[in-house]
Amino acid sequence: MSLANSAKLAVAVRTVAAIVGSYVLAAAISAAVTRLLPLPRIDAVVVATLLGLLVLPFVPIWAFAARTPLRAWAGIIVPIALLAAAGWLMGAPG
Amino acid sequence: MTDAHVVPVVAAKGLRQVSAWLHGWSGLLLGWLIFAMCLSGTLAIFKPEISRWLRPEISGPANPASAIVAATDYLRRAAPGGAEWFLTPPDGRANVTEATWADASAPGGYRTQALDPLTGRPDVARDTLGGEFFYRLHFELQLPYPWGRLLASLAAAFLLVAIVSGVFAHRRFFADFFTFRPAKGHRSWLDAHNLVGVVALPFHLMITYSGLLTLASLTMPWGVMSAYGTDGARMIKEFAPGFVERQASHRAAPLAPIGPMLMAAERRFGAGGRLGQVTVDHPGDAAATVTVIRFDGDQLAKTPEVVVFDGVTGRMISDVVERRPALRTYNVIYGLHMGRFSVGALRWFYFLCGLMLTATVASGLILWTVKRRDRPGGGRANEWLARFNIGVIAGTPTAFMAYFWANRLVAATAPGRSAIEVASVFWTLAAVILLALALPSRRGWAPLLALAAIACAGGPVLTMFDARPPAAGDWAIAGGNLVMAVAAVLFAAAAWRSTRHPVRRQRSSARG
Repeated sequence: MSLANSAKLAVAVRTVAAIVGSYVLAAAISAAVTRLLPLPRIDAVVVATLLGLLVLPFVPIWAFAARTPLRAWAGIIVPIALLAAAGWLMGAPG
Repeated sequence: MTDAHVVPVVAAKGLRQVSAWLHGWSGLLLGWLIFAMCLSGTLAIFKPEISRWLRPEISGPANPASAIVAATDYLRRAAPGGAEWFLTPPDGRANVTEATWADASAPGGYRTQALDPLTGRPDVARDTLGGEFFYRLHFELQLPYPWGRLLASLAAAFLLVAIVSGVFAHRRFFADFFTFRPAKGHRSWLDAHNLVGVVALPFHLMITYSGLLTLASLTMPWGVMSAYGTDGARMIKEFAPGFVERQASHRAAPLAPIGPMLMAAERRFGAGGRLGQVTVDHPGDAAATVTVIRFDGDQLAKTPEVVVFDGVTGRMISDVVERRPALRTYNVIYGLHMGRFSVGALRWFYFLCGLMLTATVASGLILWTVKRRDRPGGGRANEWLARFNIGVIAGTPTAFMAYFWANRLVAATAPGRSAIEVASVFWTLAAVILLALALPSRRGWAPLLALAAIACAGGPVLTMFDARPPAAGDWAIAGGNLVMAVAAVLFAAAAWRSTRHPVRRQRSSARG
């Protein structure tokens, strides 16, 4: 693969990380933080959704600023996995 | 895409360059849509005043309670047995009752109409959507539900990425603020872009984030899913406990007089609390309810207090004031986006900030093409981008003005005239974009900015032929005319300026 093609592929990989990653991370934050906050359910939902939307602009910057595409993806998937695990450990909504 | 655009990212040259690259692309991809959303949203700040300009038949002050009574008297006859009526009374800014009710014969199953505050009738004023058109366009983009709202949310997310990456990309945030290098090609555009972007940056961030929040129930349902699973009814009950949800009983029962309920609600709201939206559910059914929301135009948070009456007995069955901190935070951020709280001067400040965001988007789009104009290989694609820029940036205000022209030129009795008003916007926009695509970009600005100037100047001229002069003290028409006149002068000045500097423009076009 030529240098130009691998460069284009890297940009494509990062672009998918930026667009899909920002939405899924925001979704994971709103879902998991809802479970973690010691608040009445609806209050927790509102606070968690406000927080989830806050990360939207920063994930794409990370996705393109990370040194390699692999690091870009890892930096997004690891927090999503941690949030999913934390939400799962909290059990079913009460 | 040339390698020049790819390399900075792959080489990971540092946060500033990466941010600059991201800023450019996130701003460009949905930039034209974002431009139209910013301009229509800015106009929507003055939605009630625009509606007054568009309905010159109705003028003078109106009492909210008596307007609601008149509207329900009309709907009892016109829409008996309908599922629900939503009524927003005149409030000192709006001078009609905005009514939406279930009507199987209307597209989408609901009919929205302005009702005369004195008679409750829909045929006193000409048939028009009024300022509601710009408000709806801003977040529904004239597309069916939910696609318009989803696309608007996506555009807002791109804008938020563009704003934040633009801050990171900025080399000298405060020094540049005091820099302006006029008549220096792309440097001048960069300085202008920085100026309007930075001076109202807190507004830009606030309005974009809060805009995303207004549609979060559609786009971010995952917190709700995680707490409530599929029990949506339970969530709605806890989210908005003031509202009483009843099933229709299918036993007929007359709706009690509305007037006493409105008075009782106003007493509950206390000193200074006025009537806001009134909803009648299941009118004519034994399970009817009347829901009265406190007017929220005098405070930041939306939906501050909800009082519900049994529609048959007229008895109050619920009164809830929202005091939960998280919900109030949400209501305040939502209210910040709507900007209904603001008094006169602050409303103009909102309007100016909205214009600055619109100008930031426009100058960013122009900057993209101006920067690449003199680069080798910028070429043909860049020329088409530049032409489309001209079409959208000059065409959107022209198309919006077509709405005001159609409002005065289409006969008051023409069937489907409100749809004609809306169609005139999109036909005009399409025509201007086609015209812009046909003209070389170096010659496109002058005629199309001149066209925008003429379109704006036409608004005040057309009001001179109104059958009736506006009532004394009603400044909506005069104020609207003043804004249009100022816009006409600014567009004319821009058109005039764009005919200057022919030397550099010719040289650059020779390369493209």
